[in-house]
Amino acid sequence: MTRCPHASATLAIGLATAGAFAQEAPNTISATQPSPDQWVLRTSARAWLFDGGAAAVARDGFVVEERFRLALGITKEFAAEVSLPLFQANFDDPTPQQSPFDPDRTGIGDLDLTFKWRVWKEDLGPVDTVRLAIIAGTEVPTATNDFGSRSFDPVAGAAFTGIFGRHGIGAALTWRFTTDDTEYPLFAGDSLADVLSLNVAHLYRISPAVFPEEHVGAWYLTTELLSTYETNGDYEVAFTPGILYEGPRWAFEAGVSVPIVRELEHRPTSSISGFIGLRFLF
Amino acid sequence: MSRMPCRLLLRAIAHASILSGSIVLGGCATTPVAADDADSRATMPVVADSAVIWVQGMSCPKCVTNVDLQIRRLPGVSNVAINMNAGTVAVTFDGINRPTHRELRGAVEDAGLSYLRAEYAQ
Repeated sequence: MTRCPHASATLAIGLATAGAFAQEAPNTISATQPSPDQWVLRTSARAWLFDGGAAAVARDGFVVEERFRLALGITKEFAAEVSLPLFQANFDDPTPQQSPFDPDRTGIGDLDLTFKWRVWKEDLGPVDTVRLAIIAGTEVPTATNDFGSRSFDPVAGAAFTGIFGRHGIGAALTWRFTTDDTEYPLFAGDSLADVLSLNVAHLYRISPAVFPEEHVGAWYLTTELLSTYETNGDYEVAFTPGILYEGPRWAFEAGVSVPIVRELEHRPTSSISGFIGLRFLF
Repeated sequence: MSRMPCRLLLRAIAHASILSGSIVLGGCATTPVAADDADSRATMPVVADSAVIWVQGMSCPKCVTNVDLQIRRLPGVSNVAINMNAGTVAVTFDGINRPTHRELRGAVEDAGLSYLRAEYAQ
């Protein structure tokens, strides 16, 4: 897959599926999932702006990703998810030294197949809960037009979710065993090195302050730190604020992501990215 | 070493909040069924026309929908009303076919929530 930093975190998973639910942050894998025989469809659009820079691979341009994720609850503690991204890239003036490729290209990324197993749960009150899940999956080389690697890349990790009244916290740690690289790397994680992703999230329920008797939706402010470390020494950390509306059967999310620390070689410099997304439970 | 007292404290707080909810519901014409009684007849169909199930872990609107969908799949369930703040799921039954107590509990647990107990109307 094309391992975007923010999706690298979400990597194969993203159950935004992630599913299901419990105040799931947009980019941090949560320890929640759909219940048996229930589906969660999640679709999101994300755009990255690249501002060139002094590096030999510097280019100005943008990349747009449209990602579709479908999660299914298999048992009350086990869920599966498939995730497939579509990409469009537009770059100005590719430097002649680079391998020739179409600066305006469209293609499919690698498919991510992920399983999530909730191994621990402690419900502390009507709303409050803490949960831990382990994650395993693989990237499947379905990419076209060089929007992914050419290999199966296994992923393993764990996710924690805690809800305490109006506050929710989340953390997800994943490790990707990289077996092949991406020919034209763009993002953190697009290298032959193994990748450690550590994402942390905080959600604050803006409204309602107290859930009424009726079954209503809720608005949240989300704040995430998305970190990607490659075993070759490259890394990136992005600050990602956003907003999330979660209704009974659907949810809306939007936000921006700004790299605050980065050391990436052989890739153009991304300045900012923005995303919007929808989730449906059925 | 300190985990057990902490867990006991958390459970005590949770049960206290449930108790306060029970007092609010005291005016309803319900017949409380102790958890042990419910367990002993877990495989028997519910005969009451309504039930209030006490649940923990309903942390978001979609989580609530999870339990709503799971319970509505059971036979004889005509309505489900959820109060997240109180941690209650009110279920109304209709028709001859009814779910068993175990099925009700299973539906809650399949939704990823914790079942505490249920009270059934006469």
